[in-house]
Amino acid sequence: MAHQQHIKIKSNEDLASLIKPFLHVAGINYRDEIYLLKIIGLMKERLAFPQDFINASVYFFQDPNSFDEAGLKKNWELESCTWLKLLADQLKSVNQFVLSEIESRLRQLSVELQIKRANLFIQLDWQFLDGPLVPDYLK
Amino acid sequence: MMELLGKDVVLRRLYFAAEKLSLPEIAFQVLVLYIHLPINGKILMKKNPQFGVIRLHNAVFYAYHGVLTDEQNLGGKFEVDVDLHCDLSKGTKSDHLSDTVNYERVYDCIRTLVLEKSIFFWNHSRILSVKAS
Repeated sequence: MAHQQHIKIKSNEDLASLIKPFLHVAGINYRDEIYLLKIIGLMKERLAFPQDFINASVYFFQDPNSFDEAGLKKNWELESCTWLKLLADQLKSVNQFVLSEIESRLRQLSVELQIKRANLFIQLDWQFLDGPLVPDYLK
Repeated sequence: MMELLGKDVVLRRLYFAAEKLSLPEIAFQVLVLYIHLPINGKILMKKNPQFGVIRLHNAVFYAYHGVLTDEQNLGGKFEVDVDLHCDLSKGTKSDHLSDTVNYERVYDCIRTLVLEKSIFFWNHSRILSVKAS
């Protein structure tokens, strides 16, 4: 059985015990155990080895400091900053920060701006991490 | 991901990206004014001693603007010179690229302006519509 399949059939808790030493070495602090288990659940299909978790999910633990210039050139548009600001303003007023609420605000904004939701999502790539790798933006 | 990260983190990252990746507002305002109005750079600099100049000259584009049908069909060369008189004091102190004007992005703005759509005249409303976006 390949490494990847071994990881897939392991429970999130078992994987957490394998991943924690690597988190410690990388100096990554996590909010709490539940948060870590949720992220492991989301990411485990993408891991071949436990240590892959560090690079694959660093954006869950740390804010990005810089953005990949080549990717920005390809996807960033003149209006992108305005879209992000408007989205932030929309989300500010959300009381319960849950999937359904976030989704409806995104839909509302894309209708107001008359742009495709996919365009908004491309912009989100660049503000959450340094490339288009996020498994699911909203969850 | 957004739900997992939580509202505070999401808002922080959205605002951070919007700010970090935007052309500084002052540069944009000056760019807009400068294209539209023949502002005398020397007067501007005198009034704002902290201002510096970023020059982007001889940017040549092939575009299809003009009233005549030939101009719209065959196109022509458009040459753009931009002098950005803007506050660069922060960048000169910190020596960080993020504190100054990224002229590559200025060039992208100009390219969008020139190539995006065929127009008859370069007028005020056109420039302002780009600023608003």
